[in-house]
Amino acid sequence: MLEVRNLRKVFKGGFVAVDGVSFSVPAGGSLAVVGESGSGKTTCARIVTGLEKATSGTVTLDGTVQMVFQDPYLSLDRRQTVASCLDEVLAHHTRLDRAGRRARTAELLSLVGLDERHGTALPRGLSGGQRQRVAIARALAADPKLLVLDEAVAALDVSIQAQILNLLVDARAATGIGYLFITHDLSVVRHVCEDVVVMSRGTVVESGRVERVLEEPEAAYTRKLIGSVPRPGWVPTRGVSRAG
Amino acid sequence: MTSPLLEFQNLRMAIGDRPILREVTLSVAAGEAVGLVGESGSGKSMTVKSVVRLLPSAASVSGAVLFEGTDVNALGPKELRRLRSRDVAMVFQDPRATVNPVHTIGHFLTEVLRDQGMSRSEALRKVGGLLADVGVDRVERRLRQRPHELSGGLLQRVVIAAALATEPKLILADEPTTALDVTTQEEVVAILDEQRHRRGTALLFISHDLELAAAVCDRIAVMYAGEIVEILPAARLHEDARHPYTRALLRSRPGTVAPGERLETVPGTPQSAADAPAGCVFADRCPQAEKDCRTTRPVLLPLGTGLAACHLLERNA
Repeated sequence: MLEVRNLRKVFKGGFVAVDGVSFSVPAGGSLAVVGESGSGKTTCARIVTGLEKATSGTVTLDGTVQMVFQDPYLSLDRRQTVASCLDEVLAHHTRLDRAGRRARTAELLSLVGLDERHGTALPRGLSGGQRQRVAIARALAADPKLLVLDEAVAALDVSIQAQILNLLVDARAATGIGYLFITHDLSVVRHVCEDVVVMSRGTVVESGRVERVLEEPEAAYTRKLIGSVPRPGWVPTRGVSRAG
Repeated sequence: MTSPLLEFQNLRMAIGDRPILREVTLSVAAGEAVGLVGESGSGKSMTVKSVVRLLPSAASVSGAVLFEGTDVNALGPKELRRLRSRDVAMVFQDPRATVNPVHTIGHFLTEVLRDQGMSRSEALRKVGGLLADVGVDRVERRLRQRPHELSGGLLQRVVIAAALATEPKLILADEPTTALDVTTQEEVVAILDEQRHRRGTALLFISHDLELAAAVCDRIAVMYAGEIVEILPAARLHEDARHPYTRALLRSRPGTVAPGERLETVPGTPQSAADAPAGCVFADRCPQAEKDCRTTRPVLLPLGTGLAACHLLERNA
């Protein structure tokens, strides 16, 4: 459903952010693009959603795409109620009449675990987790085939993150939507994705099925990334010896 | 038994009539590392800031914060200055907010030492050695650079070097690696751990990441809504956690269940001290809460290898 071939992005000044990157997401599939800051993962997401133009390479998308960002507060209009925000998207993307839109708004709210009461709220009256639910509901309102989630659970408290991850698993099962997960968090990858692309400094260092890549990583960088995730019994070690 | 280096005794804090900390009792021994974990709004940062009295001016405090047996709230300006500049060092989440952007790294690092009467050349030699200790390369060059020329990971090492410079007895670290990439985080906590052990410095380490805190600390204190609900040895975190909140936190991380299976969730959202019920702070969200949980406050009681504040555990003990 999404096919990215040989993507290259050179920013002004000649900085190569993305170089020769290819990946694909099958219909209803879930792909993770993981990497650290400067790996080019967010640039890839922005190119897929049309927020950025690739220098060369192709993006083929069968259907529409929506994006959910890390900070829902910055991506919601602070003067607009939740219901009016969803209604606006529905009016733009569907042919539903007013009553149909109202029914669909209620459906979307319930899909993301909110109720009618939240519909009348402004973003500032909601918690961080509730705002991220609204951002997901708004993205789903446009009935996209693909949802691009850029660190969408990174800023959430762990108990709220669990709620949102469950919600994303449910929404995919209910709608058959596909996910492109941009994340640095390997435990999130393991939980919600089937395939993974590991990026470092603008290029793909390894890709494959999640269980294969996380259990038997081939690239040294993937091994380093997996090794630095805190876990029971983990002892942090210094990679570089004492300088000076 | 020797008296602890740092001791919070029934610490309560409010801003106006809004409670921030409901009751914090915790001690840190000399050379010990204690992790303070919990979700946003639980009061972790305020607890740590109370050690050096970096509190909002409207805050009213009761109870005591004893450093080497003296209540920091009773310190005069001169003693407070000494505490902040010499005995206790701080490392915060964002190194760019800590280091003055217009001065050089060398100026930032030597400022306190010069203030304490050390000569410029001696101070520079000392901080050069510290930078090397924390894994900063090309020390001479770094000392002449300004913060914007350094990456976040490198700058946080500079902040740790600054924290070590006055040979403090205690380092307060508030989410020191949260803004860093995970491979850089490993480096930075390994350095902090190594240098702390070498110097016998105590550490109060705030984190939202239980696994990270468990890896660098001796004991873990779990906070919720302005109270400590459980304290236990870091090495026994997974095996011995008893409090329903600690257990819920441990189980809600992806990776604890098979991929695709439902994660355990805690209903509702994290509460602050002002929103939490009068009895047990966790009663509103606790799946097992009973009637008196909402009305009667449980106290921290010894349980297994640690301490927990929970009526249900008391009853089954």
